[in-house]
Amino acid sequence: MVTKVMALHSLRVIFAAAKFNLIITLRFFSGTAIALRLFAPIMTLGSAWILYNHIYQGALAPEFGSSGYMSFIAIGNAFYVFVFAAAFVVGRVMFWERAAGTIEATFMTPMNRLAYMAGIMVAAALNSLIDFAAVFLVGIPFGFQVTSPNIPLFLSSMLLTAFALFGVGLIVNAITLTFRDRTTTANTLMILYLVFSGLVCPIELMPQWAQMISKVLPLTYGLKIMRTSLLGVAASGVTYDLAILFIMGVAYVLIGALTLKLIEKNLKKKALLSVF
Amino acid sequence: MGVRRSEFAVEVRELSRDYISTRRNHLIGKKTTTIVKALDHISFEIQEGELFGLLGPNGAGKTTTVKILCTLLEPTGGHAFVKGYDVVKEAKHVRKIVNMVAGGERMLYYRLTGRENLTYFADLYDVPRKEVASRVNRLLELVGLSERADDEVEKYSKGMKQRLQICRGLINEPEVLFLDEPTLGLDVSIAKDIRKFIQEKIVKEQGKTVLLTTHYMYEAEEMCDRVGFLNNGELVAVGHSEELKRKMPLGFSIELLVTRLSNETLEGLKHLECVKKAITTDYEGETEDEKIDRLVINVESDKAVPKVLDYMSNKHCRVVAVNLRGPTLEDLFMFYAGET
Ligand SMILES: Nc1ncnc2c1ncn2[C@@H]1O[C@H](COP(=O)(O)OP(=O)(O)OP(=O)(O)O)[C@@H](O)[C@H]1O
Ligand SMILES: [Mg+2]
Repeated sequence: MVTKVMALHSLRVIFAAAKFNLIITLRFFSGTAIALRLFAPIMTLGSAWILYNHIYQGALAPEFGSSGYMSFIAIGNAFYVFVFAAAFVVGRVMFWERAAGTIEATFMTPMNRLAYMAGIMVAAALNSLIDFAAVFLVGIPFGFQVTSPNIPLFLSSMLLTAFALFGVGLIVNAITLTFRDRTTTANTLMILYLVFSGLVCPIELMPQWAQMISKVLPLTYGLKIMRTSLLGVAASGVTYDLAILFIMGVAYVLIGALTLKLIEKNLKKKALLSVF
Repeated sequence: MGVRRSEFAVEVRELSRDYISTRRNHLIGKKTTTIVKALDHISFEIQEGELFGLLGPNGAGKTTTVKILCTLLEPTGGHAFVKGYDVVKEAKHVRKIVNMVAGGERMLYYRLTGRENLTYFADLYDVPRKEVASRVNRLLELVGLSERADDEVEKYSKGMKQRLQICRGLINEPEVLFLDEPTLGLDVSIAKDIRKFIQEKIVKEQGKTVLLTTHYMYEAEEMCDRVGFLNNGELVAVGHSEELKRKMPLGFSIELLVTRLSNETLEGLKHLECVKKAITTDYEGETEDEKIDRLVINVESDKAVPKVLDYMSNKHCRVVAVNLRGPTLEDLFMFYAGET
C-alpha cells in the first residue's frame, strides 16, 4: 500500500518534472531558435561532405559500411544530441537550480529525487528529438539514406541509449555540483563521446587503447545498434550489443542514483545548497 | 529510530552548526581555515499551535536554524525534531509536514507562470489531484495575485514574487511553517493582510505551528506568542514577550500629566526608592485655568505605578493623564543584541 502510493507519487513527479521543464525550455522558443538549431548539423554534415568528396575524393575504408560515409556521419551526429541532453541538461540541472535558487524549494519537497531527475531526462530527450530530426533532414540533401529500416530496433536503440546516458548524466550532475564547475565536466564528456564512441570514425579503425575506452561508453553500443537498424543489416548481429547496453544502463543508473543520494547529503553537510 | 515522539511541534536540543570555510589568499598560497560557530548548543521548543518568533541581529543564526529544521542543512551537533520526527534521520517524513518561505526572490521558477509554479510544487508535494486547482486559486486570491496568475514570474515585481512564495509555502498545507523574513519587500497593506492571514487562519483557526524570523519588531510584537533572542549563535533569552519585558532591567517609563506640581514635590519624587529618574517638560495646554506639567519617570518595574500615583495624591497634585510605556521588543532587541 505504502509502496504503491510512493510509486504513484514518483510517476507524478516524473510527469510533472518533464512537463514543466519542457515548458521552461520551449516557452521562449522562436523561429530564430529553430534556425539556430539547424545551424550545427548543417555545419557538421557540410564539412564532412566537403572532406569526403573533395579532399578524400570518395575514398572510404570498408569498416564504414555499405551505406556510404554521409549516412554514417548523419547517424553519429543525430545520436550526439542525446549525449548533449544527458551531459548538459541532466548533468547540470541541479547546478542551474542552485544558481537560480530553486534547488532549496525542490529539495524541501518529499519527492523522490531519482524520479525528478528522470523527469528532467524525459524533457531533455523529447526536446533533443527536434535536433535529432533536424540532423536527418539536413542529411538528406547531403546523401543520407535509410535502407529497409528496422523500426523496433531503432526505437530500442534510442530508449536504451537514453536510459544509459541518464545514468551518466546523474554522475555528471554530482561532479558539477561538487566541483562547482559549470562546463568543463560536461564538455570533457562530450569530447570523450565524440572521439571514442565511433561517432565520426568506426571503432575498428581506432588504436587498441582507444577501443578499450570505447567499450565502457554506452553510446558505442547504441550507435552500432542504430546503424544496424537503419542501414539494412540483420538485427541478429547486435543481440550482444543490446544486452551489453542494457546491463550497462542498469549499472550506470544504479551508480548515478547512489551519487545522487550522496551528493544531497554532502551538500547539506557542507552547506553548499545556496552557493553559486 | 522513530520511537521517540515529542509532544512539541518543534523541539531543538543542543543544536550546533559550524561552518568551515577555507580560503587561499593567492592562487597557490597557503590555505587558511576558519570555523564560524553559527549555532552553539541551542535548545528550545515550540508548542503545537504556537506562533514563535526567532529574533536577533544579522548573522545571529536564525536562517541556519530554519534551514536545519526544514532539512536543507545538516547540524554539526545536537538534535532537532519536528512533530517528533528527527530532521536528519527521518527527513523525508519531516518534508511532508513542513514548508518554508524566505525573504528574497529565490525559490521560484522564473520562466513559469505563478499558477504553473504552484501546480508544479503541488505535484512534487503530492497534493491530492482533485484539490490542486482550487487550492492554487484560493492561495492566489489570498495574496491578490489572481489577475497576474498567468504571467511568467520574471515579469513580477519583487513584492509579487514574495507573495507567490508565500503561496508556495502554503501549497502542502504544512503542519509547521517556517517563515524567514516573509514580509521582506512587501507593501504595508499586503504585509498586514499576510500577517493577519497567518495569525488568524493558519494559527488560530487551523491550529498550525509557525516559526517566524523577522527584523520588524512591530511584526513580532503583533504576531508572536513567544520569542527567542539569538545572538552569535546562542539563545540568550526565550519566553513570552511580556514576561521578558517584565524581567528586563531597563525598566518602564511612566508619563504623567499633572497640575499643581511644585519643585519640592518633584525633588521628593526623585528620592522615592522605586524611581530611577524623573524629568519635567512643559506641556502646551491647561485645564480649568491650571497649568499642566508633563513628567517622565523611569522606574524599574510596572509595580512602581501605584506608589508614584499615591505619592502624587499625597502631595495634592492632580493627575490628569497616565501613560505607562513598557519596554518594547525593540528595547529587548537592543538589550540582547548587545550581549555576547
Ligand atoms: N554557507 C555558509 N558558509 C559559511 N558561513 C555561513 C554560511 N551561512 C551562514 N554563515 C555564517 O553563519 C552565521 C549565521 O548566519 P545566518 O544566515 O544563520 O544568520 P541570520 O540570523 O539569518 O542573519 P540575517 O538576519 O542577516 O538573515 C553568520 O556568521 C554567517 O556568516
Ligand atoms: Mg537570515
